[in-house]
Amino acid sequence: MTARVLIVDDHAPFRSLARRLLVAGGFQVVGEAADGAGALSAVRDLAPDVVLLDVQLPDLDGFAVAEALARRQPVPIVVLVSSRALLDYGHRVDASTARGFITKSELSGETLLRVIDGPGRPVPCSG
Amino acid sequence: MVADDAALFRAGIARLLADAGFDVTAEVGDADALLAAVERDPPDAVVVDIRMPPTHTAEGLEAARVLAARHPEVGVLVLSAHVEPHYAMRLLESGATGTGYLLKERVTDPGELTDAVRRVAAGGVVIDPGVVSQLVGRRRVRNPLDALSEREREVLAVMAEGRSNQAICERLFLSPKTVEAYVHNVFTKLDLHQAADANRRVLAVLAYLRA
Amino acid sequence: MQRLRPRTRTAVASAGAAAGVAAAGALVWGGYRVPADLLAPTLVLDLAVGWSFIGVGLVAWTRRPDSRTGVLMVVLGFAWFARFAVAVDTRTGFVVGVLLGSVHLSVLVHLLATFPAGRVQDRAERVLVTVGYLLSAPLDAVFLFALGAQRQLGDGPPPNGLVIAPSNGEFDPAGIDLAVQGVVVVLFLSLLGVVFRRWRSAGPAQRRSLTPGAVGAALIVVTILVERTAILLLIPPAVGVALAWSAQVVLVVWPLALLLGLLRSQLDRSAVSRLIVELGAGLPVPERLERALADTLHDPSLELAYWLPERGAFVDPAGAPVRVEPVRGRALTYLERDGERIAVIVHDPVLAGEPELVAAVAAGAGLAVENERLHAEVRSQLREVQASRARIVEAADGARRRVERDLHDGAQQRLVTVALALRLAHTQLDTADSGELGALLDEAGAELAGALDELRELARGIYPVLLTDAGLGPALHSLAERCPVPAVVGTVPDRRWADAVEQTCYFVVSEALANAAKHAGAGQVVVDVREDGDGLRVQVSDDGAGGADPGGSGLRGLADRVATLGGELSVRSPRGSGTRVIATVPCA
Repeated sequence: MTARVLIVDDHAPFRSLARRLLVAGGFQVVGEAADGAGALSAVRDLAPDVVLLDVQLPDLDGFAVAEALARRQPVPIVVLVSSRALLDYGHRVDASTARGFITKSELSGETLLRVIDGPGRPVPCSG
Repeated sequence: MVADDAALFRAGIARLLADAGFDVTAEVGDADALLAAVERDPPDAVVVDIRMPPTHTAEGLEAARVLAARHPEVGVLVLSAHVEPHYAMRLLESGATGTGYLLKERVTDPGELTDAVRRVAAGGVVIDPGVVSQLVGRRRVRNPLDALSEREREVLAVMAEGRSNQAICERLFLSPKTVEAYVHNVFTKLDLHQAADANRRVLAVLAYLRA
Repeated sequence: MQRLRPRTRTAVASAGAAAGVAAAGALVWGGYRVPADLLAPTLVLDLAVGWSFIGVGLVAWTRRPDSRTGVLMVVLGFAWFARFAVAVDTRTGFVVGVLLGSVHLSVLVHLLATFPAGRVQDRAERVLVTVGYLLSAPLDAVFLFALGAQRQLGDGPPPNGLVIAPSNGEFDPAGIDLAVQGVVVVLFLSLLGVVFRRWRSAGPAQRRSLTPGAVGAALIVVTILVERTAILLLIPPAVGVALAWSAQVVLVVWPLALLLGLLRSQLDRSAVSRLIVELGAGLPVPERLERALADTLHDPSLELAYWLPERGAFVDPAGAPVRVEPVRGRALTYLERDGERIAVIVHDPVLAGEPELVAAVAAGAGLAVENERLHAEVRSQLREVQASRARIVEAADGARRRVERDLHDGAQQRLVTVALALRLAHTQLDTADSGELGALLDEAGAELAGALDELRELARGIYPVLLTDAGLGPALHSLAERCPVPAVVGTVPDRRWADAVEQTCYFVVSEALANAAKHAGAGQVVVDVREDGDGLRVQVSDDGAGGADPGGSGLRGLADRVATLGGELSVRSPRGSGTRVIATVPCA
């Protein structure tokens, strides 16, 4: 079964490229959202398996969105992305309800799969 | 001849020019080496980075002015990261024919770079369109450019980039007679004197736009 | 009130002595039989009370000519003796004695109600004083002529309680008497209230002068009240007599208490001398001058604020700005030196009645105040420098945060997209056709060009390269060319100044242009740069909405920057008529 993914990011060119990369990597992208509120309503409407969630959004931040999603049923797998490095967020990623973290420039179908299948720990990335 | 202190960038430029059929006679890393190399073997054109050692400010520009005085027959194209009309005009004020000011990022379009090198080698003037558009687009209270028709403004902008009437014809798909008429109108409406050579024509237009 | 002339003083003193002798004579030979055991104490006490008021009143009159209290005390003394006319056993003596019998109580009310000024100052006081006078001679006249008071013959002590003797306890008051006594009781209670209220609302220095008089007054009034209501309160006649005697004793001492109070509020010369000696010994601690003045003027609440003409503001001894304005319950005395205001003393209002006193202190402390003022000025500048340093650090941090955010939101975001596009292109090398790949690479190229643009703008915002390369003129022209509002730069002197001077002027213009475009909605901005004897003067004027806040972070930051070079930034921005920012920077 191919995992159904929702992409949340306020930068349209990134969403477009991420969609194509994930599709090329065997994922099914069911929707996109540009901010936290949009993400919450898209999850309700589309019930994706995986939410690729930018940490920095114009309204809520990614951690807050992840927390809100953790109270939903069913709980989607949340993977945080950012153009900053994991180190920049200290322990916040570990402490969050997200499955893992990917630095944006490292994003591909393969890295996403590794995070989803991983033991719930963020994938160490360069940068 | 290519002068730039960043070896990778320099090699890239040399490669682009070689691919376009130019013969790159020398690659140097600073202004002194450039002047020495030109002294030894004057090329048709020099491509020089505006920022070079030792101070990384405007050494390339100064070297270009020296070359204009010592070797007026050598065309000089200055590459710069700054959209500053000031530098372009400093270059033109040296009185050199065959001189140009181009933004570094234009090299991403090899056509633009080779076109500019050919023009300065042939004694023409090249001013980056980005510099011109900043001047033309400048906000003014009483804008004398309002008196120009849209076509005339286009002609003015292309003229400011250093294009000859012939090149304006090709760029705007106009006949030589029509271009001449537009150029005449622009000069009359802006109360500018028609200058004899390309350099002074561009300088007059830029000075007017900056005023 | 005029200063008491020595001749007048001598005349009044002689008249007082004569009045006392006359009163004594009236009591001894007036025709009434005074019990022999009461004669001596009555004489001694009555003379002591009368002479005490007249004598001490004269001293008060001399020392405090601004207060009428001294006069009232003298009058009270004479009124005290005047009632002895009743002891002369003739019809005239009786009439005069009855009419003047309680005038001294009216004067007492007057004195207490208006102490220490001796002048009626508000409505309540006026009512008290008026009622007090109506209750004496006028009321007595009504009793005497309308109701026909019985004349007693000279076989007992004279009437009106002139001689304090135990009565037989019989009391058969008529309604009218009860009413009059009631009014008297109310009057004295109100008087106590007024005195207490004045004492409570007084500042420390004023309390110092009020306390002795007020305590004595309270004693007297309470004894009078008890005496008047003794029969109603069923107090044994012997106690009433004791009270009456003690009231007399208090009356003897009370004028001295009043005098003490009057003089306490006045500067004592020794305190001024101490002040000057103390000032001569040097004042290493900022607050010490303030404390020395407070001690000298007996006003612990005294505050000293120094005037800094350049800042047009008062600062406290530590250099912190203070607001100096008239407040209820505080008085201001400005100190001047060579016609220039140098400081202000904020003090208890009672001192305002002592202009000579404050002037003496001001003169004694003048040099020290001027000295301290300079120290306060330095401290104030130091505080300002510390505050501005903190703001500069804060502004620099803020700028770094903005750069980080701009980099992250702009160029970095775009470069990430380029990286992803290249990775996608790589994965599709075998599958996609060249058209698709070309489109993808174009996309990457466009993002890259956007990133370059943003980096260039960001770099120029961090530092304008043209400023170092070519100087202030070209850099300002370049600023104006990119300004979203039409901007004109006048001729800029073609020379180079110190880097810091050029940078500061550049950022003043840059910030002012940004404000004109963002907040003022200006239609045009004019930038003028000129050099004169004072240095470089940069002026940016727009025709926008005005109302700019010089305390806002942007303009505040500019002012700090300009101040670090010893320059000055002025912002004039009346609502509705444009903004003018002028920076003057000294330059060699």
